[in-house]
Amino acid sequence: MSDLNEPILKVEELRTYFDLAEGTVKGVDDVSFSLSENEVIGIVGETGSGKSVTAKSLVGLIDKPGRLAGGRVFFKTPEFPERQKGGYLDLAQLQGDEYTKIRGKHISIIFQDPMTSLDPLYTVADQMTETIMFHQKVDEKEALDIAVKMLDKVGFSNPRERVHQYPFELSGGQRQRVVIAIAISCNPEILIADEPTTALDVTVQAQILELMKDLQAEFKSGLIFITHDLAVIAEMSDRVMVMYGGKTMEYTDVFTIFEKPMHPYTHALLSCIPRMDQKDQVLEPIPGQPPMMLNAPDLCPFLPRCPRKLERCLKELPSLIHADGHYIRCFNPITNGVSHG
Amino acid sequence: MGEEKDMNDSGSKVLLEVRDLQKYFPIKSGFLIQKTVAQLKAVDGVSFTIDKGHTFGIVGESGCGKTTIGRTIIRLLNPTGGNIFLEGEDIAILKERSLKQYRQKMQIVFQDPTSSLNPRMTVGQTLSEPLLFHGMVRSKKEVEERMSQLLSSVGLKPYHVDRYPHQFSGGQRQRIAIARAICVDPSLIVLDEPTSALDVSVQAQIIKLLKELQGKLNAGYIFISHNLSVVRYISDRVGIMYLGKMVEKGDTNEIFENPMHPYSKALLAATPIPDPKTRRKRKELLSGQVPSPINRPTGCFFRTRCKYAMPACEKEYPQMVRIAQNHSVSCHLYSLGEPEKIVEK
Repeated sequence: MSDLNEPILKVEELRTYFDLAEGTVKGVDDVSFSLSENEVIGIVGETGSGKSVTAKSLVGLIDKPGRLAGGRVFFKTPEFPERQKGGYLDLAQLQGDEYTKIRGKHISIIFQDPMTSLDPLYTVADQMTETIMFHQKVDEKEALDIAVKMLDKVGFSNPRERVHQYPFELSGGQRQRVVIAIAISCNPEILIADEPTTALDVTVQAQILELMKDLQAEFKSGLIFITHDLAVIAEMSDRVMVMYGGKTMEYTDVFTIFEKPMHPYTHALLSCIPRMDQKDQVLEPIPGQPPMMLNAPDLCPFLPRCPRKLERCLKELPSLIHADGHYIRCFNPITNGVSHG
Repeated sequence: MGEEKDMNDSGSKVLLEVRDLQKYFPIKSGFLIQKTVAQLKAVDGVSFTIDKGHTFGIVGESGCGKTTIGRTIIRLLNPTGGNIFLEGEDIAILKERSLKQYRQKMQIVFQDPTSSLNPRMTVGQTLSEPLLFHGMVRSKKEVEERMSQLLSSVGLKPYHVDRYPHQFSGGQRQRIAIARAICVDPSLIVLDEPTSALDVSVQAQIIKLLKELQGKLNAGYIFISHNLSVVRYISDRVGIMYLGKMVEKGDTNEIFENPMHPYSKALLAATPIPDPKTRRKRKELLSGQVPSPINRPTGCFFRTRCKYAMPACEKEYPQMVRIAQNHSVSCHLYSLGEPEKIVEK
């Protein structure tokens, strides 16, 4: 990739498998991407495409029966200098507690439902100062000051009083603002947002998206934005990775994805979303069902629904190839003139 | 198309006329002796009409009353006030026994097919129950014929008849729920967020199926959703709700291209569009949040968040006025329009 500045995160051939009694589910199977400072990468895909598992794998939140089955997650960080290679630490090699030095401090994650990521029994102040005191050398009073400052940043009016409220006293949008405040409180280099606005109403979603854009621009952090909503992806991302069946299908800049997608799946996905800005639109649904992930064959996961399949697709799995920063996994890509503009 | 002038024109193409519909939920308090301390006005004076074979879309954010409207119209909930004329008959006042013949004409599809289908009933049992209840089939052979015809019309195979809901994917389950709704030849189907639990690729299949079935059955749809893009795609007319009131209604293209109410404008502006070129720099964002439905502001409910709010807005709730042929809005900014007449029958 011809990035001007060195990426802060390089994910290479990441694989996360789940060993179940019935067989193996390859939740993430060969995902690669990189993220630079001050860049927003959107990961889009349907249920079960592996986008959340990718996010959790990056921050070491995969629990049994899941396991990291392969790949490297190179992260530029001052932590563990003795274990670094070429200025990068391979997060996939970290064991147990070691992750706590990274998670929350250098890489933060925001989940979909703020009611489950906040503890209902503790005040906002308790939950914020816990994170701040764990990662920074400050006492309780200083931590509270940082918490208040962060709440102010995420748009709370009179944060000094509201910091002592419990989650149930806040609306859904405000709760998500608290989660964002906790996530950015240690000024992380990377923020991962996993469907952060899916549980919110559209007017509140617009507020939160605007807030995240502002904060990202201010802190110049890298943002990995995960959603199933292509419209939100278009709104937020610089580059987009399209996932299907646990694999990266296509990965390039946001304008190319929406105007000249090369992968048949990306193309089909764009043709089947209703658009508010278009009159008398014709939808072209993708026939068939999303793939079964259990003991999936080593073939392109989109094969059963693909209108462009070749003989070759029935025999082998295409690898992720790239030209001019456009990554694609397909033997028969669309190479000319399909526009979704 | 649905003209409100034709409302009193009986025997017309009007399928459903909802007039000043109200549904209040009492809020009770007290130990041992429960007293009603307040009313939650979930639906507060909503009127609209649907023509045969047409779709009326209802959009709004959580808590605006859109689901309650759907459930009250088909009498899953009893209305507090107002009229519901289905093919000319006011079903709002009918007692349960006389309502039975209308039950067959009104069906509903819920958001989550996993909870709306009985996990212990096969597809065949689920689909034959309404047919037998309404006496629409006479012999076992007739049931089987009807069943395979129904399954193929929703894109399932005849051999699916003996399977249980857990053996299907989410999209297929929603197809079964749709088959159950259409099996009794209803003239009105309430679709309450029917695609919200589905992935986009499957959502498109279901929307297309619903459109095809409407062409065949000539049924009227009430399509309830928070997703403006889907509503625009499927609806002929649209109503936008805020805190139990319909603030604007009209032809779909008119509403989406020329929204008048400040809330409609904000709602449309907040909806992202899947095109990175249209990415807006700084949108007109609504600040604050929806007030509590138990304690709504005086006057216009939207005035606390409306940037055009003026003194008149505090005093009374604006009347619904017609500002164009098929476009009505309830806002003091447009109160010079012709008041929407309610014609007594």
